[in-house]
Amino acid sequence: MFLSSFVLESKMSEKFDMIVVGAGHAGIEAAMAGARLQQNVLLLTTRLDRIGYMSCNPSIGGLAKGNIVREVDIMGGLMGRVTDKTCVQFKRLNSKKGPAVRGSRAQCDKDLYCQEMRSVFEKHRYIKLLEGEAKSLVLDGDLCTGVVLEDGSTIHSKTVVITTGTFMRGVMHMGLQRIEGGRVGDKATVGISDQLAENGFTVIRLKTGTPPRLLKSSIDWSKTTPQYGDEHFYPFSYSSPKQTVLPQIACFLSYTNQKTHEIIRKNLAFSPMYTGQIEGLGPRYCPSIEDKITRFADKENHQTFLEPEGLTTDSIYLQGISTSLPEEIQYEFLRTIPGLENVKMIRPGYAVEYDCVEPTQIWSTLETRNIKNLFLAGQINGTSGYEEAAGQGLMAGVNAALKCLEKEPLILARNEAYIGVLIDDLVTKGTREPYRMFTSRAEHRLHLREDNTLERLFSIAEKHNLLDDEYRKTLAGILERRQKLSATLRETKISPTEQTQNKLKTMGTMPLLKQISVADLLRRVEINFSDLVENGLAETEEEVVSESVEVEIKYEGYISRQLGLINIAKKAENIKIPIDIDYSGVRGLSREEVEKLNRIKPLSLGQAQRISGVNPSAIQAILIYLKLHKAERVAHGNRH
Amino acid sequence: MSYIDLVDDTICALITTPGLSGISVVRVSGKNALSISRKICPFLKSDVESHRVYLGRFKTAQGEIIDEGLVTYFAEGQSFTADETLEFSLHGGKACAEKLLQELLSLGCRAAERGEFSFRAFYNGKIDLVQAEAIHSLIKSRNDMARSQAVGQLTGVLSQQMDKIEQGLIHVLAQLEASIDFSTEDIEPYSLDKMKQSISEIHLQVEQMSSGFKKGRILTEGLKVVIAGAPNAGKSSLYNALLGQEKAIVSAVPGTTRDTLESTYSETGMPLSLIDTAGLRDSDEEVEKIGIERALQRLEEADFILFVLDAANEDSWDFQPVLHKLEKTVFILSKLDQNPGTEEIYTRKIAKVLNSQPLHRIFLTSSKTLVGIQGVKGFIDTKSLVDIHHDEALITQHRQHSHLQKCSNFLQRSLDLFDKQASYDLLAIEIQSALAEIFAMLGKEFDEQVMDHVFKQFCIGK
Repeated sequence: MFLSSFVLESKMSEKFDMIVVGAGHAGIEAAMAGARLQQNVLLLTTRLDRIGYMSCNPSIGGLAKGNIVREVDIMGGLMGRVTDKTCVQFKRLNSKKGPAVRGSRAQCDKDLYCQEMRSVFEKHRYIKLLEGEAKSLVLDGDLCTGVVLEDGSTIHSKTVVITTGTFMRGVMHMGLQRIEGGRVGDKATVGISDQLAENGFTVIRLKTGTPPRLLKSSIDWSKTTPQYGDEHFYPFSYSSPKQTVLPQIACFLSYTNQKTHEIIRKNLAFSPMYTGQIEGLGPRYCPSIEDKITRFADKENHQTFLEPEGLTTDSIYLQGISTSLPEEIQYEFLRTIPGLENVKMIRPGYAVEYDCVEPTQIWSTLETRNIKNLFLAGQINGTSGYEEAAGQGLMAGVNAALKCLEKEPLILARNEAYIGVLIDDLVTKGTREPYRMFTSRAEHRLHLREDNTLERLFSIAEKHNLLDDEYRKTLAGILERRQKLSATLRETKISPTEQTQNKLKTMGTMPLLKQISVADLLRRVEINFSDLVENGLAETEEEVVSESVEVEIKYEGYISRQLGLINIAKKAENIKIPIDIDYSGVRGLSREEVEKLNRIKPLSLGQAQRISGVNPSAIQAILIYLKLHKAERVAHGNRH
Repeated sequence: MSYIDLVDDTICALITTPGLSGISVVRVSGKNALSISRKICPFLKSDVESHRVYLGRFKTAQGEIIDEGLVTYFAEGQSFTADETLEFSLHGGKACAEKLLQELLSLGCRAAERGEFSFRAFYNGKIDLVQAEAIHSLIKSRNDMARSQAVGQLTGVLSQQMDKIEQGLIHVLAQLEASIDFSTEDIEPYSLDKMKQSISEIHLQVEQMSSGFKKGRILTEGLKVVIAGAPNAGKSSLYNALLGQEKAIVSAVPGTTRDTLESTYSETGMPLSLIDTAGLRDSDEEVEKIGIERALQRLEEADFILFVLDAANEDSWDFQPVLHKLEKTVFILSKLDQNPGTEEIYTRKIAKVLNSQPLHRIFLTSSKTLVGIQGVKGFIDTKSLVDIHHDEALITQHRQHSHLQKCSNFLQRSLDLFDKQASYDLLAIEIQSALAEIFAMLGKEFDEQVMDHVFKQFCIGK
């Protein structure tokens, strides 16, 4: 209370560099990035006690998402370090499927996560927190200069970042009941999406859902199977301790059955998805239980994980059973699941419908095309997931700050980061369902690994001053040790002496034919770094240093092949397309292609290639046009 | 400059064989095709209809009559190139067509380059790359079988088979990606074993198609028969005797043939290239050395080799150049008039030197008396006949073959990975690489150089 009133007093007189509307996973990173660049940031949220609240599952990370968390961390973000601090179960997914497709996932204590986040902001010299709702944007022509609050007061700023998640015209559905709001206990925000629509934005409706939360004491745990996390912890942030701070807990596995399915099937008429009450498109990869039993009717059961939402809370998250059936039907089918015979719900599952902006209307900087100095990040751009939101928030924050500083924007390339893939996909392809990151979306997957995030992004973060001095030094130190180890392994030679050959024999690998480097030996499938250390061929090193070096050496051949592919792609990427092209003047394009290209206005031929529905022959046509166009420009220039 | 820089031009060319023919056809295609043609055909009404033929007098700007003939109009989107097109049918002979072309050029048309009409058809999405190449083959084809192959490719038989391979690879890749990205979900993608099996099957299809290239190439380019051997073994005499003409200079001086000589002929309707090469020996002489290098190169490319051995000089026998090519080598004993012997004796002698079973095909010949020459000719002719099923679509282009081979290699590498604890991320890159080759082969990938290369091969006017 003290805090918000303090800000309220000063808000009329003070002009901010950035206002961030919403303090979810996107807003947090946007505000933090702005602050790192020494911009005065106002962080506006409807609830100060829910900063960085996990509205859905209690986990951060996962396949491809774990990579994003690590990228955010190297770029000075908060998600990784706070996740490490509040982690109650850690898993490295796909650990046996190859280093490029591994993903770290941490289950967290939800309450502690919010507390940790809030404490960061409460003491920050560049960030002011304010509880309140932004009703509309202050527009000066096509320029955004601030926001108007619920009480009618106006706050001015150079830039505005909107990260309102599912709150824009959010409607919750449970059975045939409709409640306005973006999340249980929170009201919806209205006004901004109408204002965006008035200013020429296409606003689309998406849907998502969340499963019931169960009362811990009402569950018969003996009928479920405990699932433990990994022994080994790989912190998301290099600033975190090597071990988890909090005690580690299990989650519990159970299954639905035919009885469960029968009840759901019988009551589909009460599911708003099936009655047509919900218009928004939901995510295909995260179907509700209603969807699962309808679309996969042959499947006899579906797994569900019972995940505690924290160490002290009574709330259990029922992973995999998202539903919007009426409460009494939820009770009926839940009680057919082993362990849940007498279950009590703290809160039933529900579906949320919300407005988002068709993301092809924003630039790669996340600034909108129609309104200058207005940036959008997170679910408002059609994504789902905390990590996708955080990655966008970070970039929107960085670019809003760079704009305030009148500096060149920062755009991460598709071969530099998952964040680059994410934003490029959104602004070029758009999305029709909530967008989630997958490793397969990254054509440069072998390079975009968790273990080499530092190598990929450190120099960019350093150049843009996104790191505090202490962390910058830590990262530079690790990077230096890695480079040193890599050089040593490559420079140290071993010769086919009798002693060496015997050693190799005990290591279970082929003898040498000629002198090779230790790195060459490490490339063999059966040899890993610890074998080298055990046999005195390399000095012992911490895993945080050795792992990425080992993977890099082993994958080198493949990585260079992929870099070859990257270079081919870059050829098209390097052919820039001027923004002022009118595609209706380009010969050989279909009407659909003209419409899409005129709307998206790709910045490079590579980006044009990725637009769905734009055929290879269209790319040829654009290239010709560009050549002619260029020739015209040159000719024009010569006349003057 | 590449064709794609010039698609706004209106182009014209004679599209029938130049010279004496009943009629000549001149095609005009491009955005100004109709407006230019109207100046030549004042008889064309304002509302011309696509695919209709109009009769009238073609005139120059000065009113001079070029010819009386037919002109067919194809509206934009409905012609071979998809651009607005008119085709003039004139009386045969050079004069009329040339006059018309001159008039078209003076009205702002440009003479079409090799393959430019086909390029535009491809560019405008009327045909895919494989079909474009088929048109090229069709034009070049010298025999009925080659023509039917080209037609097969043009109607898309080959494209269909490629489609199957493409779809198969996409399917496997999808399964693989599912087991990577959805491993924590409740789904069941292919097992590794099933995936390996699917890749093996696709690999086999690719291999089969790739091996068809040899047949396909023989059909379009002809069988390559290379005559090789030691200096003065009688290679050029054999060359002349087989051709029935004195094409190569023959002398008693070893090393007379310094460069390779090539002749194409057809006895059976199938094309055939006969190639004479320089004698193989160690030489310090600059020009001769180059000739010998070329000869060795020709041996690599040969479909089969006529390796000439001087029957009168066994000391000159050196099998080194064909030691690794025995399966495509036939031995020709020359100068039999000087040193008669039986086939059995020579077969055994060769086997002894080669330290192998006497199984090699040999012919005893004399280019002087022409003994045995007919036998060699007959043998070559049977080799040049290719057995092809009517529904078999063969690849006929080196470009296609090279992509298929690369695709096959990537698939082999992925199969190897299964044998050593397959890492999914690496498997995926092998399969993606294989798929990229198929895309490149079908022209689904953007690459200006490939396009230009493909279309440069085309004949003008087709």
